[in-house]
Amino acid sequence: MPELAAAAAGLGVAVAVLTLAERAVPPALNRLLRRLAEREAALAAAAELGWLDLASLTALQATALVVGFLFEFALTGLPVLGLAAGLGLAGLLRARVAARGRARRAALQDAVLEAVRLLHQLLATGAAGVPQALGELAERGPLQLREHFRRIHAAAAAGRQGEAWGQARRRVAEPLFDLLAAAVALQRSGGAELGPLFAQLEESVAAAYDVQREAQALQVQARSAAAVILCLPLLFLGVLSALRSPYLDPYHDAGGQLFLALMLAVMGMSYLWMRRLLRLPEPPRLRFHD
Amino acid sequence: MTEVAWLAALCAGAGAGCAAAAATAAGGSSEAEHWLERRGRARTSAPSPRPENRHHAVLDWVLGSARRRRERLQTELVPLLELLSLELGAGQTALSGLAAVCSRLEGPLARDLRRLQLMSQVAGSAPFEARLEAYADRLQLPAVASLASVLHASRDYGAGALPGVRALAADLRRAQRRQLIALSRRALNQVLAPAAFGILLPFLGILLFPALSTLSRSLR
Repeated sequence: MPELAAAAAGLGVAVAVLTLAERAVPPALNRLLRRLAEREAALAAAAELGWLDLASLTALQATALVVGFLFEFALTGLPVLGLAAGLGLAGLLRARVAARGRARRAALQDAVLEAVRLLHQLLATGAAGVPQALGELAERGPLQLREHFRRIHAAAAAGRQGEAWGQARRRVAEPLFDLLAAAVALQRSGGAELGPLFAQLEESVAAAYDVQREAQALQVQARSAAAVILCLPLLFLGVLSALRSPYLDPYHDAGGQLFLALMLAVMGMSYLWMRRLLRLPEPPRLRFHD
Repeated sequence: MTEVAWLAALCAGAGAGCAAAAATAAGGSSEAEHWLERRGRARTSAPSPRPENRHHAVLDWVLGSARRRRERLQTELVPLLELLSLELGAGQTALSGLAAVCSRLEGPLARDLRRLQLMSQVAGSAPFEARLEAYADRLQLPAVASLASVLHASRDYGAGALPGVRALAADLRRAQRRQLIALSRRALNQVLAPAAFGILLPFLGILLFPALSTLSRSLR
């Protein structure tokens, strides 16, 4: 326990010093921290939980870290293992939030594809022009996009459709939606026929989404297998500690702690490396003038 | 002493490797990337087969930036072709359609095509299709070369560019899909190394450490 108190005090002092001497933080570290904060904020926003933002996500992760640390430390008496358990619990929480964000994004992609399909159907009949079709999408389109199409439809009446499309593009942030917006913008200025393009997009993009999701599913399998292997030492050492096994005695001296820390660090780094290898390239956004 | 020298050499090699890997993995904002962008621009405007370009090619290869740039341009080409097919469907000519699309789009490919179009409008200069072909050849972009062929056929023989452009866009989408499948399968094999050496091996170490340390203590 005195070690814990000392560690907490040290951490508190470090945070206080960093907060007071913000200027003393090297610019590279400052940039890294800002990038991390941006990434966490994006993760929290993607989950679309009203109460979840950067501050609450950080607080949740910090709580998970402390709870995991205390639990494992109380069970095994090994601070290194406690730290690993805390990090693991915080990572688990983050993974849940990220999974929710991914599910939301998949739903949004489906919604954009459905909007393209509906637009194609409406334009193929020849009875509706693009403004009427957009009005129809605002009324009966995919739920996630109705609000956006409503704003675009309303802005069209005021002659500010380009601005409304730009805002919608920023909020939806999907390459297919960008292409849809670009096609409508070109159609507005040149009077082109959107039907064939939408038919082509519908087919090719649906197939691309299928492949992407299949690849993501395979990734989840590989990632979860690695996570299970990663949890095994924690579980193994936890169970042996609970049984008060003398087998773990070598881990209670400095050399043993150092070895355990090194091995856990290698495992953690390897897991991060695996995640990096499994990461699929994101389809780039289409940038254009509205 | 020899061991120390070996260790130092090994560390230096590993450091150089890490630096190269970090430079390769760095995003589009890196200095090297900016340099290559500038160079790409310079080469677009005035291709120069000077000997130092060979060193640049080696550097390109080392950094992997050229490959990334090519991939970025190829990715950008797909929506560009799809929007071009829209313009062609509206009755525009291939060149005016391309100009309309490129004036709307932002990105390295649209920027380069705008520049090529501008240069081809100078009296007595090479036509756009020839410039596009040279550009595709220089950056090793077969899809852009195919677009140049379609535009060439459209200009010289009056062939409709729309079916060609549409087919090219569809082909590129299919190629992207194939690439994604290959990438995901390859990634699954690549993770075997870190899983075996980085996770399973340390796990075995954690399992066996108490036994081995007790054994070594009792042997002493």
